[in-house]
Amino acid sequence: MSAAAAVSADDADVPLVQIHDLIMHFPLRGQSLWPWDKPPMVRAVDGIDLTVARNEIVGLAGESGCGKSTVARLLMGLIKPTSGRIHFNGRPIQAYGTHELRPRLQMVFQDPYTSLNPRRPIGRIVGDPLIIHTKLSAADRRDRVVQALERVGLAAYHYDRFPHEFSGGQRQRIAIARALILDPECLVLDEPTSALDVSVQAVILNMILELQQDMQLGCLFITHDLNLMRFLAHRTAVMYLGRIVEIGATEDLFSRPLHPYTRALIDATPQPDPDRAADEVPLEGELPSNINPPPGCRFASRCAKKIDGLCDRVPPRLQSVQGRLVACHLHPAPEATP
Amino acid sequence: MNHLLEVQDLRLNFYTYRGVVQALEGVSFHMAPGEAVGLVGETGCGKSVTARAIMGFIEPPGRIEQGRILLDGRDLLQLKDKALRGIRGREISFIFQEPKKALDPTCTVGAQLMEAATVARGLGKRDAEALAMQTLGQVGLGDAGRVMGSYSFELSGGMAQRVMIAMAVVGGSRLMIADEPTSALDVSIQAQILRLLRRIRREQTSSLLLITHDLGVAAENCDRIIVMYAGRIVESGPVRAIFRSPAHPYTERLLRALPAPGKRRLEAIPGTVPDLVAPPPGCRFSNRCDRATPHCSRERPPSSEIGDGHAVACHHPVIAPVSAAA
Repeated sequence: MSAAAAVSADDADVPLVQIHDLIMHFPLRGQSLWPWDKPPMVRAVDGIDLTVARNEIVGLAGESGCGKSTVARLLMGLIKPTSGRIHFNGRPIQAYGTHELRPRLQMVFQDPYTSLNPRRPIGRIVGDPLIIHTKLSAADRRDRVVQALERVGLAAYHYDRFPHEFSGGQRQRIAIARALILDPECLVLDEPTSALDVSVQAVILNMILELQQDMQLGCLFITHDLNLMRFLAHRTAVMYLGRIVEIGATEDLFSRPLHPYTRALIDATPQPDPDRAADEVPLEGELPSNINPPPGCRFASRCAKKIDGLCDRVPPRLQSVQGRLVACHLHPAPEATP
Repeated sequence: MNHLLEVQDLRLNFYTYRGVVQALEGVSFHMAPGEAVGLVGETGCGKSVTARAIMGFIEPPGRIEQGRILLDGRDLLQLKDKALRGIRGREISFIFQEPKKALDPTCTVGAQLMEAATVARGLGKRDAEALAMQTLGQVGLGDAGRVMGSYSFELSGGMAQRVMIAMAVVGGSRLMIADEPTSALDVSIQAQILRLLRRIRREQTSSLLLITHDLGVAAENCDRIIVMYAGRIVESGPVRAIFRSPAHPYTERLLRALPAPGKRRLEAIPGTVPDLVAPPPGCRFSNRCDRATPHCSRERPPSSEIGDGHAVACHHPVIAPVSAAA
């Protein structure tokens, strides 16, 4: 933790993670008749800007296929972007070696049933990063692993057990212990509780929140569940079809959504409140294809507030409106308004 | 009281290598015509098994040990397979969680819909086709002709679920059972499908048994809620009573565990669900309950009425029963 703290002190003004104009297009092979034809491209992420500060949880919300998990994989360096820059502590992630980056940037995956090797005891699963990234002796490693297990609410006697002996919630604790054992500065959480029941989810969310505060982690939290987002994230970014449509402080964004898509998503999220009127569905239709996305505003085809003519044009990039960033024709930047 | 469906004291076991899993133990509830009932609970509480038992989908190693499932007073458990086939689709229809797995990938949507229409209503080919087209329009699939000719894998998740609902509607059944119909869908599509189910229910005046783990979905779509825990019904009542004044400690804790605006910390429920191979003799929630007394782990709490249609099975409910002596 001391090494991490020293680094953070050096460049405290530089955001922990800085993503600039990130683009990821996947070629869709096997679609065309001729091998020399250019394959169609899936535009999974199409030019996004995002920052994560130290000790901040940034939420990335959106429906499936909007590119939020691709952003996580790009940030982790698991795939190489088509173009764009990702800076970690002010340096591009490509400039880091894996051995430099991994101890500082870790990830918790969605499905705790497939993200743990079923043939290895959990003490080993959690302790592996120590073998790779530190020179600790076996006994010291064991101590660190036990500490890490205790930090997530497991005990020393779990060390030699295998993943199948644990429930989903416990497995997610193991995954979190593994991610945190090297005291990273940044943690990527990709739908960490969507495979869990409500009562277990509550335990895991509380734990994530506590650990984040204790360790001053910068977190990128990805979820489709806006109720979770509102609970956990300090700032929320809403993605639609490869682009971010709105970013703002979570409470502000939820109580006063500016982009029509943000508004529609909030309205569509069921609430445990029998008196809430559920009959109004503002989001008609389905997500357009991200191979041939609509030319103008990507949300225009489903937008209730669409203005013909105006919304057929590409909306401005994220611009500052009323204390947050919005990409929508309906909310022009203040200087643009007469 | 005129009940469309009445489940009485249903007991169901699964015979596994590990032992006998007591999946359902004395489950009783009823549904009135036109009512939407939400069956909620966490993984393994028995909500899906209950739905499958009603449809007669229980196969070894599962076995229904006792109880009755009455549809208009007729016990479905006593019916032969052939008679049961006459009820499925015609009187009770089932909407599966994953429509793409439930639909046959080798025949077109049209062929499946027409088969359902032919079997359930005894229509000829031409009438069946007309009805299938009309039903597809009713579930919001505008281009019915094209959908009829497509295969399930050519549809999006939302469209496939609409087809699934069309199949449930085409037989004109009075009871639809939907097992997590929107869990595999995105929130915007989920909202559309739930709205469709509400509309279909109004138009057909059919009842809906909605099985869900999402308390928000249940709250917004049901008249009455049944909460299950570890194979038993712990509380049932009108949706407002359940969400505004939950009586069972489990229901109360579950609602407090939900993330909601303004909460800074979630209240988790400590402990885990008991192993149903050897469940505790008394209340199955007693090992996680902060109101539990030694009495709770010994004796099964009976279900007692605490208000208008609001019943709770607890020795120490959060709200005291109206007649504590009874």
